[in-house]
Amino acid sequence: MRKSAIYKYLVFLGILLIYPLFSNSSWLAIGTTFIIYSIVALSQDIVLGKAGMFDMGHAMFFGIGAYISAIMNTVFNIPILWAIPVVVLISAIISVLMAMPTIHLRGDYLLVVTIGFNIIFQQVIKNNVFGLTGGPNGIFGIERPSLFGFEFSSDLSVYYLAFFVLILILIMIKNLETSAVGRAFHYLRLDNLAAQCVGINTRFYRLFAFALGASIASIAGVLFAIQYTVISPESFNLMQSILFFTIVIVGGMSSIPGVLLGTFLMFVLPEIFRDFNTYRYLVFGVMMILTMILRPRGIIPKKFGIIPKYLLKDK
Amino acid sequence: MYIFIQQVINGLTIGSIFALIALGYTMVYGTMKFINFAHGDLVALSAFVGLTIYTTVVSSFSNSIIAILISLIITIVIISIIGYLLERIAYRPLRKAPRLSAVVSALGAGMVFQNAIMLIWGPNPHYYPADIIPNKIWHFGDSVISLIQILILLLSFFIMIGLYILVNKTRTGRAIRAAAINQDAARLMGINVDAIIVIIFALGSTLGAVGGMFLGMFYRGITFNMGWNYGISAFVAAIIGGIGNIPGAMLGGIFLGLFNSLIAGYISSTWADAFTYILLILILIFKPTGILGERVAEKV
Amino acid sequence: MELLKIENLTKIFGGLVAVDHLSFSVKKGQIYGIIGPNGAGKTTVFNCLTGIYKPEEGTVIWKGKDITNYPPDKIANLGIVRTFQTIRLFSDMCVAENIMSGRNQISKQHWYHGLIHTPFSKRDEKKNWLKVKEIMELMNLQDYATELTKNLPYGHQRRVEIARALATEPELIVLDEPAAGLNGHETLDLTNLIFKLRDMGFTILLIEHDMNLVMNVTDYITVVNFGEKICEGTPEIVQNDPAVIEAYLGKEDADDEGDEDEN
Ligand SMILES: Nc1ncnc2c1ncn2[C@@H]1O[C@H](COP(=O)(O)OP(=O)(O)OP(=O)(O)O)[C@@H](O)[C@H]1O
Ligand SMILES: [Mg+2]
Repeated sequence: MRKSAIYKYLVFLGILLIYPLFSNSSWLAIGTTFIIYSIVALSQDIVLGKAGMFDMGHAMFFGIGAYISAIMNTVFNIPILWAIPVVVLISAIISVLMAMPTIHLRGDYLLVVTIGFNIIFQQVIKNNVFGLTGGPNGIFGIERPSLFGFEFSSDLSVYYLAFFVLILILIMIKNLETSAVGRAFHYLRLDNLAAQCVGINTRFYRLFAFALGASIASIAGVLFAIQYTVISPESFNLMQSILFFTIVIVGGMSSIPGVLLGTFLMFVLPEIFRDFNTYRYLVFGVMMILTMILRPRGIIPKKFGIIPKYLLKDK
Repeated sequence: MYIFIQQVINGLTIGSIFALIALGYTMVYGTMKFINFAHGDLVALSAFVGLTIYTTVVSSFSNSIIAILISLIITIVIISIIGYLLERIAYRPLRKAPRLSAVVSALGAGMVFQNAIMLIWGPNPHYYPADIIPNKIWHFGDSVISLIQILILLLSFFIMIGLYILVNKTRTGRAIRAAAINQDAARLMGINVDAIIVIIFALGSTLGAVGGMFLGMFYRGITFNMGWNYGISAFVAAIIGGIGNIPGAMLGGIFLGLFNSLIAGYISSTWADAFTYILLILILIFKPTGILGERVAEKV
Repeated sequence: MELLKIENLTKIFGGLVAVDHLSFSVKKGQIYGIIGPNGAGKTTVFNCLTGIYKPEEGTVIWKGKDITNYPPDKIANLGIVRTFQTIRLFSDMCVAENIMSGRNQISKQHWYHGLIHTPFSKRDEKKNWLKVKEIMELMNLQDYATELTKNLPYGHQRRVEIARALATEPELIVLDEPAAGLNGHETLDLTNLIFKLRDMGFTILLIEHDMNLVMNVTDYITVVNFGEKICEGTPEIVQNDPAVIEAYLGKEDADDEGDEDEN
C-alpha cells in the first residue's frame, strides 16, 4: 500500500476512534449505524463493485444475520456473539444455493432475481414463519453480548465493538485486493470471456464473491441486532438494498474510500439534514443525478495500475 | 368456478394496466439498455396530475366520460413533456457512462418524483371520485364485470394494437427497431437516434400516463409512493416477457396480472409477492432471457 | 507427435454452416497456419477449439484426450491459450495486471488467502509478479508496466495480449490475426517474436491474412473456404494450388488484406 494511502486510512480510523468524545447519545447511535452500514456497503462492493454482479437484494443477507442471531439469542438463549459463526455459515450456504442456478444470468436479469429474493425474504419474515420472526413487529429483547467477562452493555462499548469489526473487515478487503482471488474478481468483471480463456474458473469466483459478500453482510446484521436490541423487517427491505447498491455506485465501484464516503453521503448526510424533513429527499434525488452526471464512475473511482515496487524499472 | 372467472376478469384488468406500464420499461430498455427505475414514479405522478385536472374540469362538462378523456389527454401531454425532460436532464448526459450510473440517476429521478408528489399533494392518500365512471355492472352467473373494467380492457387493447402497428408498420417504427438492435449502425444509416429516443420516452410516458390514470380509476386510492410497487410489478412483467421485446411486455403484463389475481383468489394474498417472484426466478432459470426472449448475440 | 487433432469439426449458426467437417492436426513444435477469405470460418474453428462455442459435430483431441465441449477455463488449464481477433484486454487495468491474469490459475493460493495472507501466499504472490516481470522483459513491455492498456497504441495492445497468453505457461498458443492493424515495422517484430516463441518450445497455431507473414513463418498451412478445407500443405504447395488461387489468392492481392469489413 502507498504511504499516503496508509495515512488517509489512519486519519479516517482516528476520527472514528475519537468521534464518541464529541457526540451525544443519538449521534453515537448514528455513528455506530454508520460503521455497520459501511461494513454492509463494503460487502455489497465485493459482489457488485469487484465481481460486477448486479446484486440489488443485499439487505437480505444483512437481515439474515440480524434475524438468525436474534432468534438464537431470544429463543434459544445463546449468547449473541456465538451466533456469528452460525450466521456466517448459514448465509454463505443460502447465498450459494441462491446463486448456483442464477449466477449465469446477464446483469439486469440477475438484478431482478436478487430483488426477487429480497422481496421473498421480506414476506417470509413479515408472515412470521414458524412463529419465529415476530411478523411485522419483529423481534424484541435481544441481549447485549459479553466477552471474557466484559459486558458490552453500554452504547459506547457497542460502538467500539463495531469499530473493531470494521477494522478487521478493512484489513481483509485490503488483503483481497493483493491476492489471486481478488484479482480474479476484477478480471471476470472486466471481461468474463477473456478471464475464462486464461484459465480462470469464473463461475467458482462468482459464487465465492457472492458467499463472501453475504457472510460479511450477515456479520453486520449481528452487530445491528446488538446495537438496537430490536429488529423489524423494514431495516432489511428492498429500499435498504437500493441504498447499499447506490452507495457503491455513487462512491465508486471497488474503491474502499469511495464506498466509505458513499455511506457517509447516503446515510449520515440525510441524518444531519433531518430538520429539513420535507425537502431533504427531493434534494437528495437531485444530488444523486448530479453526482452521476459529474462523476459517472463514482466520486472516488478505483485506481488500477498499483503494482509491487520490485516490478518497476529503476528510473 | 365463479372465483375463477372473477379472478380472470380482475387479472385481465390489472394485467392490461401492468402491460401499459411495462411497455415503458421495455421500450427504454430496448434502445438504451438500462432500467428506467423512475418510470413507476412517473406513473404515480400521472395518477395525481390526472386527478387534479379531472376535478378542475369536471364541472364544465355534462358527461364525466368526456371529462375523463379530456383529462387523460392533458395528462398525457404533461407527462410526455416531463418524460422528455427526464431523458434530457438525467439520462442523456450518461449515454456513454457505465450503465449502472444511469440506473442510479434513474433511482434519483424516481426519488425526486416521489417527493415532489408528496410536497405538492401531501403524504395522505387521494381518491378518485366513485362516480367518475357510471357504476354499472354486468353479471355472468356469480361473477361481475364493471363498466370501468370493460373500459380499461378496451382502451388498453386499442392502445396496444396502435403501438403494434406503429412499431411494425411505419417508418418511425422501423427506425425504433433499428436503433434497438444497434444504435451505432442505425446512426450510420442516417437514423436520428436522439430523436428516436425522444419518441420512445414520449411514447413510454404516454402509456405510463394512461396506466397511472387507470390505476386511479380502478383502485380509486392513490398515494405518493404507489409508483414504486406498481413500477416493480410492471418491470417484472417486462422481464417475464423478455425485456426489450414489445409483444413480450404486453404478454408479460397480462400473464402477471392473471397470475397475481389467481394466487390471491386461491392461495393467499399475504404470500402473493413471494409467489410472483418465485415464478419470475423459475422462468429466468429455465428461459434466461424471458418467455419471448431478447435479441442479443455476442460475437467473439 | 500430434499435439492437437481436430476431426470432422462442424459448427452451424442458424442455417449457416460456418465450419463444415473440418479436420487437421498440429504437431508439437510446429508453426501452423490457417488461412482463408473473410467469413471462411477460421475464427469459429478457434472458438470451438477453445471451448467458447460447442460444435454440432466432430471432436477436438488434445494429446490423445477428447476435450470437445470442455469449458474455456479447463481448456486453458490444459495448455491451450489464445488471443482474440478483436483484442480483449482488461482495459481498465495496467499492463502488468493484465499479464498477471495469466498467472491466476498457476498461483497456488487458496481461496482463504484472499482474506488472510500467510508467508506462503506472500511468497507465491512475489513469485508470480516476478514471472510477470520476466515476461514483460521478454516482450519489451517493461516501460509500460503501470500504463492502463486502454491508453496503449494498438500494436502494444497486441503484444500485451500475447504476453498474457504466455503467462499461463501454455503448450499451444493460438493467435487470431496477430498482425491485423500492425504497421510494417511491428509486423517484422511479430515475425521475430513468433520464431522466438517456437524456439522456446511453444507450438503455435495462427490465423493470418498477411500472406507475407504466413508464408514466411508457418511450417504447414490449412486453407479454409466456406468452412471447408480446400487444401493443406507446406507454404510452397499451398501457394501453387489452383483451388487456393481461385478461392483466395486469385480474388485478392497476395499481399495484404484488411479485415475492416467485420460486421
Ligand atoms: N456467433 C455467431 N452467430 C452467428 N453467426 C456467426 C457467429 N460467429 C460467426 N458467425 C458467422 O460464421 C461465419 C464464419 O465466421 P468467422 O468469424 O469464423 O470467419 P473468419 O474466417 O474468422 O473471418 P475473418 O477473416 O473475417 O475473421 C461468418 O459468416 C460469420 O458471420
Ligand atoms: Mg476471424
